Amino acid sequence: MDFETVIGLEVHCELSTETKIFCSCKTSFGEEPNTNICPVCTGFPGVLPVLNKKVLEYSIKAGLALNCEIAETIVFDRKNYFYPDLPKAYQISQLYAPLCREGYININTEKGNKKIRIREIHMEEDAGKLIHSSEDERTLIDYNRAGVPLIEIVTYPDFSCAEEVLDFLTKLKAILLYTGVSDCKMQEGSLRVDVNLSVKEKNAESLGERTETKNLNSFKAVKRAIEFEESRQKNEILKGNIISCDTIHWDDARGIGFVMRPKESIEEYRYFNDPDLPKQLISREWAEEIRKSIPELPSQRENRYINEYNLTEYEAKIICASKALSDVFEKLCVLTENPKESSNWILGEVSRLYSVIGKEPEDYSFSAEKLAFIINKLADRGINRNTAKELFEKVFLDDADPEIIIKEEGLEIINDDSSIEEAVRKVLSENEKSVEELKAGKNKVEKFLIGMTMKELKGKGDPRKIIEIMKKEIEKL
Amino acid sequence: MIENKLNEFFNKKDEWNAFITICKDDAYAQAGKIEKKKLSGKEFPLEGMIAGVKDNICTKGVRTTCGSRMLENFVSPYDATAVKRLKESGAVIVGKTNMDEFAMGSTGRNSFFSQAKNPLNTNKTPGGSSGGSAAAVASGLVDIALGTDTGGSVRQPAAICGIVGFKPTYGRISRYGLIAYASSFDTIGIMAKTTEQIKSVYKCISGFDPKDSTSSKHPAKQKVFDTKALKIGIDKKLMEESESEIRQAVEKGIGVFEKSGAECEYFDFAYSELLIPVYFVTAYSQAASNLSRFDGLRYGFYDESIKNSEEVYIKNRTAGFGKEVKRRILAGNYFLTQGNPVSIYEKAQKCRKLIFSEYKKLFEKYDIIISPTYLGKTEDLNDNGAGNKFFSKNKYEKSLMPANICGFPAVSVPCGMGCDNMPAGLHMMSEKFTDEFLLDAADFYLKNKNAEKEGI
Repeated sequence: MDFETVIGLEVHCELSTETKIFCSCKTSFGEEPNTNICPVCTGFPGVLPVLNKKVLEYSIKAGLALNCEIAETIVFDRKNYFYPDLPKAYQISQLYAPLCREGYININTEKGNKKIRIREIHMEEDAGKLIHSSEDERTLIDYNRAGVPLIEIVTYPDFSCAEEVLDFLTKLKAILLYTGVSDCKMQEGSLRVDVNLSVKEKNAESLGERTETKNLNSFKAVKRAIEFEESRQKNEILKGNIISCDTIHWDDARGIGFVMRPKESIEEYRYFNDPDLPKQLISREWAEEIRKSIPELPSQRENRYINEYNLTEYEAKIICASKALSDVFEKLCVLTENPKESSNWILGEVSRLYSVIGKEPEDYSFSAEKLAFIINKLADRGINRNTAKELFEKVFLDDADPEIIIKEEGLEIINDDSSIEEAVRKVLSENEKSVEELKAGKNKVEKFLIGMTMKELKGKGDPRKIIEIMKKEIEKL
Repeated sequence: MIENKLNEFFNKKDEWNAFITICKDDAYAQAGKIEKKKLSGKEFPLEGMIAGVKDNICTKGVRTTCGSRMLENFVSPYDATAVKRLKESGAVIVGKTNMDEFAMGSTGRNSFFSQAKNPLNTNKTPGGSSGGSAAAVASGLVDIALGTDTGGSVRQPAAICGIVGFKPTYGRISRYGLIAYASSFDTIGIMAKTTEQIKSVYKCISGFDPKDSTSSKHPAKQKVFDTKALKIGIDKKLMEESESEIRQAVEKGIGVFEKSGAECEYFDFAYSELLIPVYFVTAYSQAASNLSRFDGLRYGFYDESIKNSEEVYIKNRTAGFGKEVKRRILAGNYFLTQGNPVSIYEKAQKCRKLIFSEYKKLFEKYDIIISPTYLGKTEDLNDNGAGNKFFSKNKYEKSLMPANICGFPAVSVPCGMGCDNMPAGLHMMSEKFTDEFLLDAADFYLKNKNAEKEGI
């Protein structure tokens, strides 16, 4: 039996506004529990929500960057359910009239470009966090996150495999980072992905019953969870079992997903318009201002790199996938006036060192100015490539100053004729036998002699100059 | 002067259970602050006024119980905007007034603390849910009191206790700090013996509040009160449905306007039968959601025998809420449940729009709409069958609901005697943002009614 997989995503993204969505508490991550709280975000009696205008601005910005239509009015709804991390016992969200509709992202697949449609983006508030204490079997509640602004991005079921999902998420993350609406830190929960997946017989008209996989904390987890669920569903169908509409909790450590709770046919959240937040108009002028404030987006940058800097499509895509990386690249281009070399460094040493330390460019930065200095020094043949790499490692890891190290450690390339001549003569006189062989036509020996000269110069000789002078000296003999 | 007044207040006995909490220390401290500021030249428009505040309006440092076991020991960390403005204007708050639990009720019977009594006849209820505020004013314990009006809870007890009760346009007085019952109806109202007092308090505590998104920046409609040009509409059905003594009292009241040259006309309201269902469905649904936050985790009643998180909700809410509150929560959740194609709540919202558009038409014809405030007899305190009379009883409250359903300002003024030698209330309602105009009308009525009596 041939199968097709159908996948849709729900992506929750925390907005990086200074303050919460309905009160003026800070949104900063990693604070002492229950320090970023007030009567409003902890649902005290008598308090009322007031929409943070910055949240609306960021949400509209995200919507426009994702090619969405923006609603004319803002309406909020209450989603009612009891859970200890939800202080009011309802979440303020948008069910009936989401802020943004009908957007898309173009992704690249094996078969070429594919448009992934975004059904809607709506604003809502985050909940607090339960902390289960193993010591005394108590559960503690931290409300710092309660009221942190979220947007939920819902796609149509347009994906057919994990690779497409990953390309979409990479592009989505880049767009959100470029527009500056979120820091997209998955490990801190600022980007959370739920995967809706169903399989059906190939060419079958109706979709299969879908499951929703939650708790996916990295792109890798998303990929593994999709592959797991895909094969689980196929096996179930082959066994003649029926897929039920379940919520699956992904256990990344064990690499398996398990059914969390059977979903009822209709979730009963008793939604209704929040009477505390009356309908509000979004002025078209303001929306237009926001549109104008959107910076160059990754796809636009990619095109510019290809056209202006002559980068390959592949190079441009990798660099632009991360805003931080691409920002470094931009600086390098200005400071070195050598885009190709800058791109080589980004794709080579810079990427290598990020994977060595296991961090993302968004989470760890280094001085682009210092790398530019190294690249320029290398181009001027002031240092050699190995020295350059070693220097950059020190810049990247310890923010060392390459100029000082070069001076202190004497790393500068020796390229004054007299020092090189002296070394070449010394080597030639100490290796008469090799010189004879060379003269007899054994060209391989030249490399050996150059190597010996380099050794004599403690590796700091300018290789081109050594070759040049060596040739002259041998001719003299 | 204020100190004498406070001494007098704190020496009196609250025979009517008008208060749940008396705040002596805070009151003297507040009075001291005012005296001090006066020395440096500051003037206070409400100077010398002592006030009661209904116990569902938050007061910093003084407990706010909502008349419920759930919040028996709840002390708000902040002042409601109305309380803050009241204090800043120089009024001194002496206590928190008794009420039906979470403002659900119209007799005071649903208070967890005690049954408030009617100062005019202690065998009668003072009405509700702001029964404590009405009793505190009617007994002379305080000059003014804040109440809250979700479905008549300021106007009905004011009528029953023979005082003036004013519910402003929705959005005029900030709801920040008012513990929500039904958010789109809840309005803080003012109760006093005179319209002058109400006007001056209203001036001080009304106005836009950035903390309440539903508070309004809309300017007041400039409308001059002139009886000769006044057009009054009288709701025919509500008059017919009233007890005869009350109807007669209100007819007399209308006569005061007629004599002064106002044009009075009876009208038939097309959607009369929708008023009560729309009110209940909307109010109970919003209440079900608003009251969900009371789980005992951050504040409020907590049963120490709780073993797991599910019990948190079951035990705290079962023991913390009274019967009527639980009844309304259950009904509200049912109304909100997804129906086919929509919930009952959504249907009610459509009806609400219909009612509003009908009243809009009426206000094109009339400046003021008059009806009796409360159509029936004031209930006796010891009414054993009270619980069973639920559905027959609320028909007497029909005239109260349009103002909440549509957000109109409305006022109840005493107009002679109704049933059982208890006062009747004349209810006046006008279009949105004509609050000052409406109070002028109330003022005119009270002055001319008395003039008539005194034979001037």
